[in-house]
Amino acid sequence: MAGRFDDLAAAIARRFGSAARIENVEVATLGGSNRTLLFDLVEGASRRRLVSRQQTYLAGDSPFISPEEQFRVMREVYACGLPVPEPIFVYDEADGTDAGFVTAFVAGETGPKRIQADADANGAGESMAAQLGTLLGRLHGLPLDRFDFLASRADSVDPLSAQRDRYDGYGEIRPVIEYGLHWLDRHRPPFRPSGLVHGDFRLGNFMVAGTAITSLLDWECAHLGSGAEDIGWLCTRSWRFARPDLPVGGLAGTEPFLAAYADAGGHVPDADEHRWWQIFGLTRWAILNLMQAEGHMRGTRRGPVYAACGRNTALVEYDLMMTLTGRYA
Amino acid sequence: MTEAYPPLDELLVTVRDFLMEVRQSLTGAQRYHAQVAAYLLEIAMRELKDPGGEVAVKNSFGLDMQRLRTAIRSGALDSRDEELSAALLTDAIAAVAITRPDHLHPEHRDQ
Repeated sequence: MAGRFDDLAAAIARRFGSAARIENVEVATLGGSNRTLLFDLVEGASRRRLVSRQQTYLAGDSPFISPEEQFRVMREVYACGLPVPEPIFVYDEADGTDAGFVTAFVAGETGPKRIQADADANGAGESMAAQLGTLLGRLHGLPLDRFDFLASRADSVDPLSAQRDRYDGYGEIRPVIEYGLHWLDRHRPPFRPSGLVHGDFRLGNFMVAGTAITSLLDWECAHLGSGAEDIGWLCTRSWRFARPDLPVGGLAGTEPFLAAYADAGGHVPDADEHRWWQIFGLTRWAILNLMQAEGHMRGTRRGPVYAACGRNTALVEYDLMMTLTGRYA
Repeated sequence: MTEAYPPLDELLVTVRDFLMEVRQSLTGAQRYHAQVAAYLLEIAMRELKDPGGEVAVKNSFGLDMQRLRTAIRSGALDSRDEELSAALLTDAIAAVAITRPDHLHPEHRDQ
């Protein structure tokens, strides 16, 4: 064990003093591109469970914001009173470690299919969808000046161009993606004033305790833009998991969600605009799968999951064509 | 020429079954990766059995990929939108039939 967590111990000592200790370290993930550690921070009689997330690999054309920016977004969102894990510190150059940050540990369930099954068993789908509507309405109304640093991101400037540029960068021609991008370009929705957009607002990125949404996780796609983007992504067919018949994250129909969203100050998109963002979501998800395949083929990040993502692009393309031809809603 | 024995599809089944067996003794990410690896072999088995192919767009429009891209982007095919979307859907069905047939809407299975 000796040495494996020395970097973490040193980072803790720098910030909390040499008397602070780390205990009960658990490696949650150690993948090709990230390292997640759970640990207790012990200071005298006080003990807190914390999480360290570090990025061990970063592609030059990554669509994700840096860990430093993620930390900054979470710090601002936390300060505004929305439920995110309490940000503790961000690693810096003096740590000499991979980039990343430490937050409070939040217990609960993130697995989409388990959350859906629990919601179903407890008849809680509508109330959970309403909770998401409230959270998202509040999120989209946060003061923009706190998030100025995201304004120059490609996704903030023009989300559609951002997708097209990434897709073009992969050099693989996919006729369905071409068709999706062309359709999106021809049917652009009206301009909406910008708000903070989470960017990956879906089951899998919500911490759930019982039937309560207790934390919003994974801010690596945060940018500024239309709130309808987050709504469309949540409702995109791929993110309904086991329940494609329930548009809001496979939890419920749209009514309870949109009512709560409006109550919290959100601007409810009309049906055409909502559909546009779902088609955008499918196109974006197909492109993200293509990105994984490209990393695999280039050899920068190989593995069965990345290869499978590449082939799974076809599933998303099928859903996209079924939606564009009016067979799927 | 005598056929190789056991044949290629049998080799893939053997490796797939082996992966599913060792998966039982793995944990965490490795367990998941073994399952995904078995899934990849199943795709390979289906593709080997019936390569099918995504030929509807090519047959309808007679364009190579580069030209097809240019034609879609420029709007040159907008006037043939119904024909294009139908052909794209047909090709998507062929691809999903190999990747994960269960993902298809019932009306598109076993075509």
